[in-house]
Amino acid sequence: MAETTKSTAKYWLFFIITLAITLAMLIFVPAWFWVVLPFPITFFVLALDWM
Amino acid sequence: MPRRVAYLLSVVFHPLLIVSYMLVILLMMNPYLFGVNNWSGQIRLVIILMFSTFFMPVLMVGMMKKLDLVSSLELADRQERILPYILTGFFYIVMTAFFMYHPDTPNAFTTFVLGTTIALFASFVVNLFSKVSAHATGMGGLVGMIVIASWQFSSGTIFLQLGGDVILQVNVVVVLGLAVLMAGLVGTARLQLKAHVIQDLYGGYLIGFLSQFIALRFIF
Repeated sequence: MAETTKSTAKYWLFFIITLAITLAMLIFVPAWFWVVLPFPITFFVLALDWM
Repeated sequence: MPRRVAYLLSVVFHPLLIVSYMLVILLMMNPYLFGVNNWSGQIRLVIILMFSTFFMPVLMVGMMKKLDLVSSLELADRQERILPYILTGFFYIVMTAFFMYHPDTPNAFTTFVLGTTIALFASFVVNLFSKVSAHATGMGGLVGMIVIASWQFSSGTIFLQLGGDVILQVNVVVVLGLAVLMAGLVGTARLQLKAHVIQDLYGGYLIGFLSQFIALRFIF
């Protein structure tokens, strides 16, 4: 049976974008950075195929 | 995440313990809100609260297990959660009413207790139709509570007494970030233990978080 490989490129891209947004928020509006915090972590975990 | 860590996270952040954590955080944010500024007074306050929000509901579920009314203490089956929800809800209503009509209780804490009770009954209603994660509801409520407390009831700093006169000051935004991370970790632990699917977690987070804001609107 052929083994399918899952592409994680999409998740790496989302991780970089959301990380940039989180860092920007941490610099400019630190009181609100927690709102976007779950996204880079979730995409990082998905990109590493841990879930 | 190893299964043992997932189980430990599920126990440490059990939904019935969240109100006690809320009280501890509020005491650290504003120690003078309750009129007690010494360790023994604060610990006594937390233990009194834990009696009706943790010990009594746990005792009841333990008794239900002994009487074969539930198959396990985890209450994995949606139908089995109905009776414990009602009985726990009874304790939370009594406690909320006590705090609401007790003049010495700060409005900040009454808001969070009311928010927790609203979340409990909202979870109960949703649970009749679809399973919802009580852990996620608790963590959503905890994050909501810290957001509200940081806006309304704190100077922007949390004070951690490390013994003696050593006090560590932590920015409340850092605490908020940590709470969001912990909420995510607890959700991951629930998925790892196969206790829930991701939709149960989203529903739980939403119910817990919004309930705190509904309570805030009601009290203020």
